[in-house]
Parts: sequence; C-alpha cells; structure tokens
Amino acid sequence: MRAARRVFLFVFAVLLQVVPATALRAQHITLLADEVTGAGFSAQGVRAEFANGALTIQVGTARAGEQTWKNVRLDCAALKLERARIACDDGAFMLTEKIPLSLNYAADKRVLDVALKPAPDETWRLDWRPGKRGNDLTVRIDGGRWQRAAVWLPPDLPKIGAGVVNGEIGYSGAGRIHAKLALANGAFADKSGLRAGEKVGVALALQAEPAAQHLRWRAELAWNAGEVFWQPVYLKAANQQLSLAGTLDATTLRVVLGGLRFPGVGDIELSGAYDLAANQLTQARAQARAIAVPALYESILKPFLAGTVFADLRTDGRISAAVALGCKGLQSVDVHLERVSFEDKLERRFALFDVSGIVPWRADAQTQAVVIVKGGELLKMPVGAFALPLNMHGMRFDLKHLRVPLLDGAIDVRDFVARVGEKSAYWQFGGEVGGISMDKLTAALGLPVMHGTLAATLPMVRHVKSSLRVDGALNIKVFDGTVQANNLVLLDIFGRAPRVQADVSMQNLDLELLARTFSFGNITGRLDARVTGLELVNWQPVKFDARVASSHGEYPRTISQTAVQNISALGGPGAASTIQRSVLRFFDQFGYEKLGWNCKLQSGVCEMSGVEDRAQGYVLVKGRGIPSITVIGYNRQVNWRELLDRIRRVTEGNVKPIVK
Amino acid sequence: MKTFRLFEIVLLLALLSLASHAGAQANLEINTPGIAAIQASMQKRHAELAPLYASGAVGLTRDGNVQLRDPSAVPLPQRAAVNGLVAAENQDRAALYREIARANNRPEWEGDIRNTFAQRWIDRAQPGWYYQTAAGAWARK
Repeated sequence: MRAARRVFLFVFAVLLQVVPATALRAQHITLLADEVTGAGFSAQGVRAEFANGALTIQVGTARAGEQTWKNVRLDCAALKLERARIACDDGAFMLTEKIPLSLNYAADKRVLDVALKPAPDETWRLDWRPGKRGNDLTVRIDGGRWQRAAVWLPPDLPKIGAGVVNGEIGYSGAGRIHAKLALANGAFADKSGLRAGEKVGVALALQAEPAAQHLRWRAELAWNAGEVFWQPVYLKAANQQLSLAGTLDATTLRVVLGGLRFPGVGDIELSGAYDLAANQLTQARAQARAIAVPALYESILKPFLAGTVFADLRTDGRISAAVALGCKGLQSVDVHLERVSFEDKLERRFALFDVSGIVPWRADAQTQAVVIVKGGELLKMPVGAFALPLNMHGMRFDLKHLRVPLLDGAIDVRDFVARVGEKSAYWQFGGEVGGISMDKLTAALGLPVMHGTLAATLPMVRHVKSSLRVDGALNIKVFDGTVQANNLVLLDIFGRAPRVQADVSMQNLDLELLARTFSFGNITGRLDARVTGLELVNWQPVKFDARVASSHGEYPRTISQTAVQNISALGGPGAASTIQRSVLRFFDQFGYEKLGWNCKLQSGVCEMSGVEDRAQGYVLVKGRGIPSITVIGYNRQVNWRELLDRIRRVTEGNVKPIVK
Repeated sequence: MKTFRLFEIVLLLALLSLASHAGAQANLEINTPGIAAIQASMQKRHAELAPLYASGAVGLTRDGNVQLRDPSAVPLPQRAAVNGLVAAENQDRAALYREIARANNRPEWEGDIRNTFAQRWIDRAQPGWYYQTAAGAWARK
C-alpha cells in the first residue's frame, strides 16, 4: 500500500513539476519511463497519459521492499485543471483491488491532498505540503483495516483476521518520523489456533529523528484490550506497557533503554541489538527486580509447567533476575531469591520453604550458587534446613556434598554431577541415607508401623534419558535384619507406567517383628528371602522369583495357631480346615523346624512351592517338638491377584482370630 | 459409566483383532498393572474429552491419536487446558500401545497395535464426532 502510494506520489509529482501548465491544456500528452527508482521502491514500465481531460497512470511492475505488484493503475476520468488547483473528485486507484480516490492540489500553497477510500468506513488521507525543510507528508488513517498490514509481515506469523486502525503517520522533510496509531478489535490466529488473539486493543506511539550517524527512535506500546493465547501462555490485557528507545542505522537496530511494565507482576528492563543484515539478535539484556513469585508463577510460568509435578504449586517470595544474551546464545543468568517458597498444593509430595540466595550462572566461567533452604517437606515428611553450594560451569553442574535432614535422620548426597546437553541430560550422585527411624518413616508414609532404622548406602545413582540406575547395593536395616537391593533400575520414572527392576535379598529378619507389623499372628524365628528378577510396573509386581525360608542357625521357633491358619489360607482353604477339625485346635503355640514359601510370578500366575515336596503338595511349615504342626499346601498355581486378596483378607481379618 | 464401557469395548475389540492378527498367539496379556494404570488415567480424562469430541473441537486421527482440529470451537482462555488435555491423551495412548506390546514380549507389534486401535477408536466413535479418513481429511460420523 504505502509503496504504491509513493509510486503514485512520485508520478504525480513528475506531472506537476515537469509538465508546464500550458502543456496540460493540450489535448494529448503521453509520458513514458522504463524505470523509476527511489529509496526502497522501484517502478518499471511507467506510462502516464492525459487525453481529453482524463488522466491515466499505469505502472507495469511496482516494487517496495519484498513486495511486488503488477499493473498498478491510477485513473481520473475528469481531471479538473484550474489556475490554482488541480483536482480529481472521483478517481480510482488499482492495486490489488479498485480503490476510489479523490485528490486536490492547491498550486499556490503547493499542498497536495489525496483521499483513498477502500471501503465506505475506511479512509486513508495523504497530506503533502512544503515544510520548514523539504516537504512534509502526513497520512491519516480512519477505520483502516489491520489486515492490510499482513503483506508486510513475515509469513510464519499468525494470520490477521480483523482489526481497525486509527491514527496518523507523519514524515517531515527534516527526516523526522512520528506515528500515533491505535488498533481496536484486533484478531489473529494461526491454523493450529495455538497462537491467537481476540478483541486486541493496542496503542502505539513512535517518534524518530536523524542524529549524527543514525536514526534516533522511541516507541511506546500499550496493550489495553483483549486476550492473547500464545502457546502455552494465555494473557489478558491489563495495560501492559512496552517502552523502547534506541537507534537505527544501516546495519543495526539497537534498543538502548527499554522497559516492560506488567501490572501485577513487575517491571522488566530491556536492552539489545539486532543485526539487520544477518537477521539475528546479537546482544540482549533483560533485568527484573523483586518480582512477586506468585504473580510470576500464575501468569507466566504455570502454563509451561503443565503436566509436570510443578503444575499446581502454592508459591511465595520474591525473585530478581538478570539475563544476558550474546551472538553465541545465553551468556549469563543472575538470579536472586528472597524467601521463595513453593509447595505441591494438592498432593503435598514436596515443598521447600524460605529459599534465599544467589545463582550467578555464566556460560564460560566457573561460579558457585549459594542457596539456603530453611525447610521443606518430602512426601509429607519434614525436611530440615540445608545449604546448596552448587558449582556451575556452563552446562556442567556439580555439588561436593549436600546434607538434607529428613525426619530424625538425613540424606547425604555426595559428588553430584550433572551435564545438560542440547538434547539430553545426564546426572549421577552417590550418598547415603542414615539414622531415619522406621517407626517415623512408615507412619509418615501411611504404612504399617515398622521398627528399626533406615540406613541405606547409595554407591552410585545414575540418571540417563528417563532411567535411573543404582550401581552397587542399596542396604536397608529393618526388622533387626538387612534388606539389600542389587541391580536396581527405574525406567520411565515420570511416565504413566513407571517400571522398576531389581534383585532383592533379605537376611535374618526378625519374624516376630515382621508378623506383628503385618498382623499375621505370632511367629518367633528368623527369615531369609531372595527375590530375583523382580519387576514392578506402576509399583506393582508383575514378575519375580521369590524364595522365602527360615534362616540358618539356632533361635526359638514357635508359631501361633492364628499364624498357622493364615499361612494355610495362602495355599487355599483345604489345609486350614484340617487344623480346625483336629485336636491341634486346643493349642495356641506350636514348634516348627523350618518354614518357607516360594513363588515364581509370571503372567499374573504365581507358581508355588515350599520347604520340601510331598505327595500332591508341598510343605510350608515343617513341624518339630511337642506340640508341632506341619502345614502342607496343595495348590501349585494361584492367580496373583487372588493371592493378594487372600493376604489382604487375612491381615485385615486377623485382629480377632477365631479359634473353634 | 457410559464412557467407561465405551473404553472397555474399544480395548476389547482392538485386542480381539490383534489376537486374530497374531494368529496362533491368541493368548494376549492385557491385564497388567501398567496397562491398568494407563487405562484408568484415560478413563478419567475421557469425561473431559467427550464434550470436545462432540463439539468437533477435537477429532480422532488416523494414527490412533487425538488432535485439536477446530481451535475456534474452544474459547481462548481454555485453549491451553484443552491443548494440554490432547497432549496428555496422546502421551497415554502412546504408552498404552507400547505397554501392550511390551506386556506380550512383542515390542515390534507397537505399530500394528496403534493401527488396530486407530481403526477401533474411529469405528466406535459416537455420531457427530470427527475422525480422520485414510487420506487424512476430516469427516464427521
């Protein structure tokens, strides 16, 4: 549009200045030009013809910037030629569509006034008149369609659907430019609908003037109406204001002083430089002071965190940040945290309270973050105060030692190393968990209360892609014995169906503590277990080969009638009823030599066996002494889920054992 | 409850056709904790997706996914949530196809499972829902 107008103006000027008034009174004049060029535009095949009071100007090809138009044409059927005035009341301008045009040139004042009316409620009025230095041009837009700007925008931006522009753009001969434009009811959207705006109202004020080597400019942009969704952020107009001041020369667009005022969130200072030839940002800085974290989280961060564990947090505190970009990308990030807290609102899986400190990250220098955490929560368990002295060097991060108090013990993380690549991340650490009493841990996790202490050594935990591998053995002391997990691998940890693989062995567990904990009746003795090829999906076992048996050595071995009944129940109803009918029901305690249970789980079926085989069955408890009891199981195969149901019924129904 | 049944029917039909596809290997494992977890998550989400299928905002694609096909049917403030819903559903669907293949020790079946499901989701779609034809065009049931 604008370029075409310039072509028109140029040709019109040629007409006014080159052709003497006497010639205009002649019957027929034709002017031809192969090419007319000016700053930023060119016109080829220009032909101006005046015949019988009618003026026609044709341009074969007009170019402005990247835009090209064919057959641009100006028609004026009745050109009024008077002594002091040239006028055309009902002309037409042909660009991509036919636009009604009127023009008036006052020869005495040398003022040209052109009005283009592409639509009844849309007017573009050009006023061209002599100024203090050269000619001044003013374009007044009344009801301008915003869609007309589309040809000037990069094709990968969303398509403009609607919008009305009012205002004025002016150019003075002294090289000054000013614009005051207001957009109302703007709408745009891309095909996917993920970048869209509706009823958008924006006010723009722009001023520019030539200085020594460049153009000095200043722009104020205020967003005063409507809503925008730019995946994943949705924002409503709240009079957000962007003000920029800078310079422009042939190679560089520079923002010297910029500011973004975001009501309710805070102010951001901006500066930067854009290389026009290379089409890239060469340098930029952004800085924000004391931004309220809740406002930042709710309006900006939350949409980016949808689907992660940080999707719904309660937040508090303030954060200041400065970011610098260079040709090679991110150069530095400085973050200052002031009593920042965040908490998993609904599920209460984690929380950190009163996090303060500084994180001075540099792309090519070694720095250390000093962050102090006053406290927190992990799976509803209290976490004590700790410091986080993180060493950073570009995308390499390491931490010598971190001690996080948990319940009455602590988690020690040692030699943490992380490397963040463009496509992948990798981290590893070693450490130990110590002194956490099982009573408190199990109570906090809502498990049956177990006694003992949790002391685990984590020789090396590695995270590659989405899997977590523990090299070496994970040791837990519980039930007065030890539990050891080897070859522990966690896959898809944050996926819908996380998988765990491990080999687990248990030694010398106190059966009395164990049975009491799970309300299984009274058993005294010691237990070993070996579970190989354990595979959990969604934290439920789908595969394992488990062998549970009495430990070797001398220790008291007794089993209560309730426990016998429960063990029997696991093998089906047959064995249990035998006890109830026999004389043995008069005894409370029995002696045993050994007990054991094996289960090979595969495809939902548990293949069972015991300490030794018997005709048509297997021995679960082998009796010894007086009175002694031997429990034999007959079902070799049992559906795993059915077995779990049985165990649940047994442990839940055992508060009051019924002895007939 | 209705949506629950629909899901079950689709799962069953898809698996039946998979079983016939597998020939002699008709003994398909579909009852694993992994599949159950994904299934539960999808069932829960279905209540939110159903009105979007009905309005035509979201349609069933030919490759066993769902897609925001008419964003204008979703007001701007809800668009992020709907987009999140679509992304989560596709994540679950991919996990479901992978998990069924894995549970049966046939990871190479994943593509076939996806194709079978794609066809079944479309076959069982309710009248008025949009789906993608084999040529990729949107059609209404």
